Amino acid sequence: MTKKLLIVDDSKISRMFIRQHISAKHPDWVISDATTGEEAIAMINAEQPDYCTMDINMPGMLGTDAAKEILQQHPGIRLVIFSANVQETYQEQAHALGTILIAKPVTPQSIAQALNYFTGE
Amino acid sequence: METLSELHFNALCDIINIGTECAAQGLGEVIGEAVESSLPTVELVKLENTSTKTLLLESGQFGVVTQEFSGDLTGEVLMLFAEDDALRIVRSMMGTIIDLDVVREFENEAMCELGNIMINACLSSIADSLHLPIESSIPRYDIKSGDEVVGYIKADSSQGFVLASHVDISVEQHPIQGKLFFLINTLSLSDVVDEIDQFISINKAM
Repeated sequence: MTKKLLIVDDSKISRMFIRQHISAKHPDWVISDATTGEEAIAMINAEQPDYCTMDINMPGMLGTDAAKEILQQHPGIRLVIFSANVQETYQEQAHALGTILIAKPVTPQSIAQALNYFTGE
Repeated sequence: METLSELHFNALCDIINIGTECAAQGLGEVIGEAVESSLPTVELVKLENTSTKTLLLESGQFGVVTQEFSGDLTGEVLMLFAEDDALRIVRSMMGTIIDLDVVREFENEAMCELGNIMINACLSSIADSLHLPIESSIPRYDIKSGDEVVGYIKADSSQGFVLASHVDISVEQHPIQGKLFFLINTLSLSDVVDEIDQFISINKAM
């Protein structure tokens, strides 16, 4: 069944890498992207994706705040936080949200970690 | 605060070294190549004493990523590579997904993302070591001469010190010299000293 993924990251390079790696594994998935947390919230309300990758450090609201709002409104979405900021405090925040923080850079290994989380493996 | 004691400076060097090694490891993961890094050398330079000579920036142009940090520790980090090395890193980073002919168009975006990864790897390590949560700003990238870097550093007089960390990185036998400069204000340095005291006492107890 075709799945929908939303990539939320202000870095064009990160969005390109995430899209490339995931498309290689799941060419049938419909992938869209957003560059801020605010844009992501609006898109999720409209598009109802199955999965979401969320950066933390973006212009406007923090990704962790956007993730909290998204998961409260759409508890069925599987969301992972992708960030270079891997401080314990952010890992604890991710855990409290019921999600995981995956360290950047975007690599085949980190993408595999996200895909395993999405599919519950 | 005028300076650090030898004990505090050595502890800070250890923390910066671990952070710099995390940053170098981040570079290796980004470009997908084996990266070896030397033990960084760390110097604490008063703002008024910074020059192209003290910061080892006497020749050439540099690709510079700057990122401010705030929270319990406030300041700014500059990550520098020689301009040619920066472009080489971007080629290694982007070569699998774009045509190398257009790699220059992605230099700004790619170096911002690389800087974000390396600087945050380093800051996260420092923040966790000192138990001082840190937030960081959006990274910026510029090409600057050594004089311009020093002028930029000296422009913000609220920063009392520059912690200069120099590390030699070798990517697939090709040497790259990277530098990380931490601009830290005097008040933050006092906070760092307090946290280092705790860091030392915890590590003594272990």
